Amino acid sequence: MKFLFKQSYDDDIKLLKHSGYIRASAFFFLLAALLPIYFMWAGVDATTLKHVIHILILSICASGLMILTGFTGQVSLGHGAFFALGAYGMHFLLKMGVPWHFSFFLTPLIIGLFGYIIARPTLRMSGVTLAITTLLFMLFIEQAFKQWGVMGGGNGFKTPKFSDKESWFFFVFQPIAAALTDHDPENRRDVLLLARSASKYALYYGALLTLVFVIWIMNNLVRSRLGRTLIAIRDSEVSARSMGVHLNHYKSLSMGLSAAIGALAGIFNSYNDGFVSPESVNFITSIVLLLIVVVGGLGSIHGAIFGAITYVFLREILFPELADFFQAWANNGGGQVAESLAWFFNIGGLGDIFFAALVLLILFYEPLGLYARWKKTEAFFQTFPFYRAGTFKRQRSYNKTERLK
Amino acid sequence: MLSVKELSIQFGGLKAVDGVSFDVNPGEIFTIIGPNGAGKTTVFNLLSRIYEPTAGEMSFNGTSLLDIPAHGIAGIGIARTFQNIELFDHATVLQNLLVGRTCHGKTSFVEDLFFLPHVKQAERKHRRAVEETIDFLELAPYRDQMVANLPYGVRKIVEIGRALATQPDLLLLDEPASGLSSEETSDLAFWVSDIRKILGITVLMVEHDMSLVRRVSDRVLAMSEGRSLAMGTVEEVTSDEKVISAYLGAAS
Amino acid sequence: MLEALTPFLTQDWIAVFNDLPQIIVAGLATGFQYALIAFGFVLIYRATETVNFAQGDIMMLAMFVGLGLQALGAPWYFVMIGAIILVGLFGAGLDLLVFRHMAGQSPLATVIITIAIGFVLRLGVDAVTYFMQGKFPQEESLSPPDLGDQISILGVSIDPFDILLIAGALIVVIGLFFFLSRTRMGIAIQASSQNQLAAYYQGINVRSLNTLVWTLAAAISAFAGILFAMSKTFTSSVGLSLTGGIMAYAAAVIGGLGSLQGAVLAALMLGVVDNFVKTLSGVHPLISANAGLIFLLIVIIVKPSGLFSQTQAKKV
Repeated sequence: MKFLFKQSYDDDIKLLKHSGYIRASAFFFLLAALLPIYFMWAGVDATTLKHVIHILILSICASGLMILTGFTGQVSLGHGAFFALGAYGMHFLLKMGVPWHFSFFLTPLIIGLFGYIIARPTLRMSGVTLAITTLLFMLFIEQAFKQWGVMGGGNGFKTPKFSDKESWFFFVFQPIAAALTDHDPENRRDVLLLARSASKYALYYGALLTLVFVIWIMNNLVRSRLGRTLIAIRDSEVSARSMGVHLNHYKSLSMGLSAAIGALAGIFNSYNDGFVSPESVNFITSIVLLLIVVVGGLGSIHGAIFGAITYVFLREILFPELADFFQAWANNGGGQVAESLAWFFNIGGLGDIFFAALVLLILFYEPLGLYARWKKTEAFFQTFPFYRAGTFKRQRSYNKTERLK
Repeated sequence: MLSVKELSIQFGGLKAVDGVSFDVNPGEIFTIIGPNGAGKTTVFNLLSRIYEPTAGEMSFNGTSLLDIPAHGIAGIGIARTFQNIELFDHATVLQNLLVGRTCHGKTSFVEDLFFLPHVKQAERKHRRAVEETIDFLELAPYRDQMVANLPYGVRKIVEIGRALATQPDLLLLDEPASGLSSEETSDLAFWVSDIRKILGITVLMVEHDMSLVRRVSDRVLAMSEGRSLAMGTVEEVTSDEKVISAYLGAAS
Repeated sequence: MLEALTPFLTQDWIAVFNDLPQIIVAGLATGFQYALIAFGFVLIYRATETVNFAQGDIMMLAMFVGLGLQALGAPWYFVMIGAIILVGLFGAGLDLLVFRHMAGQSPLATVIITIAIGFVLRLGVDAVTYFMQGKFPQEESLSPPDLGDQISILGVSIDPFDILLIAGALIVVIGLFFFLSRTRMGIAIQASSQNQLAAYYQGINVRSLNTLVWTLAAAISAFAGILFAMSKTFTSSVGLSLTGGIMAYAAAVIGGLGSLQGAVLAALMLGVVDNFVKTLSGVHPLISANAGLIFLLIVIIVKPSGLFSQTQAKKV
């Protein structure tokens, strides 16, 4: 077990507290950075890369929600709106002729500001009222997009492709990709495919760096005054006020920040999906985001990533695989059973329900989320063989009305 | 330092506080006693601007408190504790105390977000300030523990510590000894007088434990049913007939 | 922005004024449907602190049960009573099988379960319809009772069905108010909603009461659903649609969560305002399609605690 001998306040304040952290962070980052290269070498198809990017995007968006719900305790059922606003906002600016890089930085700022302004009157509410109001806002925005003829109205629009100048990594990748495939004569034609999917790799690295950036921000929050204030608001609004915290202002800041992060995720998603439509965000998206945050562990920093991985794995990988499997079985004369199973697994939205069920199962055994389970496993190995199961035991709670808060 | 004149608040038909007036002088320990429901905590809530009075004035060092919102009282030098501990359960003792430093923070939103060097310096300063409070209240063994895991007596002390971390001029203590054993109460008595002697902070206290009141208070105000019954030194108030019949009981 | 206001100037206000009673009655009819769902929603919330996002979907279930009963040849009153009883039992079943075991769990988990139940209901209804009819539910509706043509009251022609609807809903709502505030059982329900542990200590059988509450709420939703089905067309996603379930939840919340009067009032206002704006001409489609939504948003921003809030500041 590692004992930290702290010699100055900085040891508590700094980000990477000991060599273990440094090594672990470097390891994971390297893993993530080399993943696409592995994909290229192993000839993994583009869809899988799309799913991995989807994980990154969801992690970013859910991290934004984590700041709002996990750190500040404000339940929002409308986070999907910022996701959509990011996509629409970005492409609206592009259509107006704003250069790509400007749009990319401007959109989250604008959406963040919008989030702050919306939050000022709204965040005076709490609990269910807040949740439903955010839901209403989201529905309204969805309706508004449907009416927005300029951006394709109800049908949405297809995302314009990156130009060479915009996919920064294209220049880095092209030679590497060419070099890797040159060694394999059978895959020469893949160089062409590679050119087409170079933008996908650019997207991957863009999203990865953004995720690292967001995690860095969350860490900064936790060790600074701002983060403490948000957590104070979550745990006891009354005493936070008495300590000098202007509740509405900080809650709105939190909303603005999470909106900006959600918008960033939305921008990446518009490129990953290839199109933007009003249907891409709805009630279900927001619920899924909330589920991701909860299953990951409310209040943790990396929890969103755990949740996102679980979701994408279940919905985009496991379920389609099962559907294909049963379909193949049915095609090979599996009979009525196979047919119905194939039909069952092909139902849209089924993956979401199973994700919800899985989340509930996980929560039942680990109320603090996947991240907590990870930490406990870590603690188990660190204190081996002195680990006690009762270390983290909680008390049973009875229902007490929320209305006297 | 603190001047309260004819303070009143009405909830519907109920006059929770009715025309209460008192003054607290700098450097003194002033206690409010009275039966439950007398309105003592309501007075505190009025002072910390959580409630809005229906009549009366309150001023602190010349500034009228009515001009200041709830989140502003920490900035002018008033700190309070709560009767039912309102600590941040899912944070460590250290983090709880550090929140007390919020009103002294000079770092902005953007600076905090990107953890600029300015922020690091500020953090070190806050940490040093908070360590002094930890030292003073002997909370060092609990520094990194989650508040939710601490015993009740320690949590009460952390609550006081958090209030002290705001470096107030006036400290409002709401029933600091409730739920404490007699040993813990004696410790508390020492701390309260140390807060006045060593830290130079004026203390306004609501308390039921008469032994504590007798040991530390300079002056006492007795309240009952929202009105003040008697004000003066401890002996004067405890021998006042109205106070005895309303609260203390003849045997006292 | 200013173009949004011009309809107010070019409106044929005299015509609107003439139609006002009709607009109000029609609005009240819709409003009462929302009110019933909102009532059930708030009832469950008050009794068990559960936010039941499946309330609208339970209503939808009742509508399809009604369809089934109608297909079996039952007359309208039988359809209504049958659906109410069956769905009421379903509500009881939900509590017995699911929510009883959720006692003490985090409210978020419970909310997610209700959402999942809603999903499952929708899925089930779609699947059954598919198997029986070979296609997914399109715009369905129930045949309303034949009550004759529009009657004229005070010079206003009103559809007699609307009158039946409003009368029926009023009776149910008032009856429930009476039940909750005057009968022992009703007061016991209120007690357990405020502090379950204390209610247990008082000898109140909280668990049976909760089952009763769920049954009641489901039955009320069923009643609302049949009324809805008889006056409008619906699909299987009506429980979550802007013109169905979600409006009801919004009304419940805007009325001040926990306040039954508030929920009913807000729902009624919602129905009337929505209908009113729809009948105006020349209004931007975004506003007319979402009039109710905008109305609710305005109310909640102006008064965040809702119309008749039950929340009090925590006593510190």
